[in-house]
Amino acid sequence: MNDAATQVHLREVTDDDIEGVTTLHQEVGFTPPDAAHWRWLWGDNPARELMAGDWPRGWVLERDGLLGGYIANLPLAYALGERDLGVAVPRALITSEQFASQGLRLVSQYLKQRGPDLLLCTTANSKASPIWDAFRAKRVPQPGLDAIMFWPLSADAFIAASATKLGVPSVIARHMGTLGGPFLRAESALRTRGIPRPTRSHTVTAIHPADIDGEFDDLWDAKRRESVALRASRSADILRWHFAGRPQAAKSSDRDIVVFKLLGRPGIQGYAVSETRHERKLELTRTRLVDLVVLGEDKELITHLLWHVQEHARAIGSHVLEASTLLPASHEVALAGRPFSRSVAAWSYFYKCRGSLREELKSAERWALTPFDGDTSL
Amino acid sequence: MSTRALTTTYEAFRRDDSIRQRVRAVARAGAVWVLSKRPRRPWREGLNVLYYHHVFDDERAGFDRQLRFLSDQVEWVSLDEALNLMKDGGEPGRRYLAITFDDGFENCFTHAMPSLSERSIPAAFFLPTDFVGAHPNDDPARVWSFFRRTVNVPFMTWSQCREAAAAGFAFGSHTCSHASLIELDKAHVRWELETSRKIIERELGTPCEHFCAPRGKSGLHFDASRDPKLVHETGFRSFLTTEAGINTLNQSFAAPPVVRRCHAVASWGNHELAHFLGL
Repeated sequence: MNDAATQVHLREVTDDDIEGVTTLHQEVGFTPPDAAHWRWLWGDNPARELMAGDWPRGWVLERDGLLGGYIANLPLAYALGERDLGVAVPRALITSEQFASQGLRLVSQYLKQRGPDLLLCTTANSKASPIWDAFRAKRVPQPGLDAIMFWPLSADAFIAASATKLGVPSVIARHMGTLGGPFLRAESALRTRGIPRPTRSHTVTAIHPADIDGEFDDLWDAKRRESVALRASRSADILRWHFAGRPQAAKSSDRDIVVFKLLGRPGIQGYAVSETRHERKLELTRTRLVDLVVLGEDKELITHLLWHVQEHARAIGSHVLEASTLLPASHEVALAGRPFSRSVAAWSYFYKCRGSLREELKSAERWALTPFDGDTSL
Repeated sequence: MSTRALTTTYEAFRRDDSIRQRVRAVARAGAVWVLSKRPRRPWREGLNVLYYHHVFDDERAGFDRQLRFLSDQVEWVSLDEALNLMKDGGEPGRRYLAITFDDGFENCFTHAMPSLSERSIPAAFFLPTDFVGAHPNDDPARVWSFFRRTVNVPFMTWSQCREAAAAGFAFGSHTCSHASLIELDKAHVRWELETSRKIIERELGTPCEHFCAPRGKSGLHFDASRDPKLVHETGFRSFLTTEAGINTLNQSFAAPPVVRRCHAVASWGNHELAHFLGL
């Protein structure tokens, strides 16, 4: 290490670091966390008991009392079949410009920890992805993680937003939307794009995530018994924390989450969660599928839930519906809706573990990630 | 939840009909008109049961007209009386007709029941219990999952059902989920039957004795060798279908009686009812 590096101190994050971490987020243009947000991530986290052992909340880089780097180490409960696992998820890897060369120390520290059963990163961007590769973190072998499927629901707005994203001035982009909209609509109609109407009767009801109740515990118990695959735990407590617990101050006022639950006999047979956000900069309202769980991976039930997410998105005026990180049956159903698709800029999913778990997770069949996993939808 | 425009007319309800469906409807109307001009078949001794689904705003006048027309031609009977007639027989030469409504849409409460009450016509309503009280402004997903398309038709609430029951209308089970029984295994059918019955009895405080099979075609929507038996074992007195035809009187039937019904739409002309009922 050079002189500059030796002056930079790497240590575990404490409650007193909130101010420095907030400043750091602001410097790099990220939405800063506040005390309530931290309380939600750590204090209210249903997996907080995992932190009773050797589980730091994250690390900071510090020089002369100034924070210049941060990585959070979020505890999440997982299950491999009926076996419970403690998973550490990295979140918000940030370094200021002066500390840029030190960022690797944060990743290294995260990967060195021995407490969790598994280290899982689900949101590596194009800058971070090569770092995880360089540290020999394994790429998650689950197929279909490298593409995002999408269905424009409002052709005009979608084209205008796409043009704006490519740098076209918004006035011109809007005109492009008006001119191109009819063509995209015609193309979508001719190709019959969209999740088809379900053919059989099932009852689906939409609820607020705060109303997730004990029925979801039963569904989760049944789901984890279904096959030996790595899944984020989805007890009612965890789902409520994940989708409804986020403090108001820290979340975007435009974020709208709806849970579609599919009634079963008795209990529920599955659910889907949609998240809708309005991106002011692009003037685009985007609905994403952020979780989908169905007993037996039944395609008929999956079709029901996806159709409901699509129609809800359409009804609330969303401009585009997106789905990614789908399991094979869901992927097949989504493909039947003839989506557009785009590749992700970089591989986002990495993991590291030891012992027998490492051998088990080499198989793609052991993975069942959805957008619920890691911090993708937190 | 946002307030959305409700589907209040039959025209709006059918807005998503395909060209094929529209052509078929026109062809059907033409064929029935031609057939209704032929000499009518004499009324066969027996019991007819009509089933409607809805009486939308633009069907209300038509429904009143139909009731006026039918009241001059038939003797209205309740579903209980209809079952007794099927078992014990009726008086020769009389035309018995019972009227039923499937699915429990709110427009049956607001539009059909007042017209029925005015003429003291007994009627039975069949409820899929998952959907009672479902309103497009509160839970559109639930309403859409019934239709499997995005129409905004509200369902009767339990409070409306209680009011109607107090006024003398009968209520029966139409399962919980409105699933076709043939798609379900035996345990699931039993669960649908028992649960819907318990819910209706709990909410209305009266015995729920009649069952109507969703969609109701034998071999297509229910298993004739299995489902009527299950319905009987679950404590229902009747098994209503959508198999068209007249129910013979004074028959010895296996419990519960499988009841045939004729479909009716409130906007149909009197000649259409006359044709199908042989009036």
